[in-house]
Amino acid sequence: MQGSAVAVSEHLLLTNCHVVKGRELIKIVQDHTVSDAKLVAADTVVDRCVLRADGITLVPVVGVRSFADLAVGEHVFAIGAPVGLERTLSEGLLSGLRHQPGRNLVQTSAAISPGSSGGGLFDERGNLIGITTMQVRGVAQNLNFAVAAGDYWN
Amino acid sequence: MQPTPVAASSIPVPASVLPKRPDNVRKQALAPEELFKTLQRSVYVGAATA
Repeated sequence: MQGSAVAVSEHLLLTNCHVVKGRELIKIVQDHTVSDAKLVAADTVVDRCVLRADGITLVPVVGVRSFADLAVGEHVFAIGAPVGLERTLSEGLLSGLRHQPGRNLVQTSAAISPGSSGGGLFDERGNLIGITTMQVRGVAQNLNFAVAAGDYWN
Repeated sequence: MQPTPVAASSIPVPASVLPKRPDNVRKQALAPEELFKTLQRSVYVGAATA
């Protein structure tokens, strides 16, 4: 399974549980540098997982916004590794703010593909607003969703 | 025969292991090129195998 992860401290990363849960060997990769990571926290019902990488000093994002502060129409950017293409940038709008039992989802028109899961959705100022998690395929276009990033701290 | 209790998973929820939320929220919009330069080092490929 291949996905993405976003650093929020020097050793911790946010990702989706469906990327890593149940897997024994977890690696994070950047510019051909491979580091071991391990799953240290999980809330599988809402697809929020946290990885720890002790053998490397990560570069964390500096700002994470709360779901309550987001607004439909904001210009947003996704960075992830769709189909393994490391650090791919895509842009779109914040298309909707959705509430599901136990979690908040940020709907976006920014492109998300397999491999993007666990990547970052950022506002136009570079603040983390979501962890990209899924897309609706087949019946619609540009329906992509991220788990609200601020909810990892709730 | 009494059923044997199954131990609950010991893995904690994210909020219990995360440090303080990064709160240096930027106020100024960035050009897409600048945004990418700023953030690219924070996003990693994650690979997991059984």
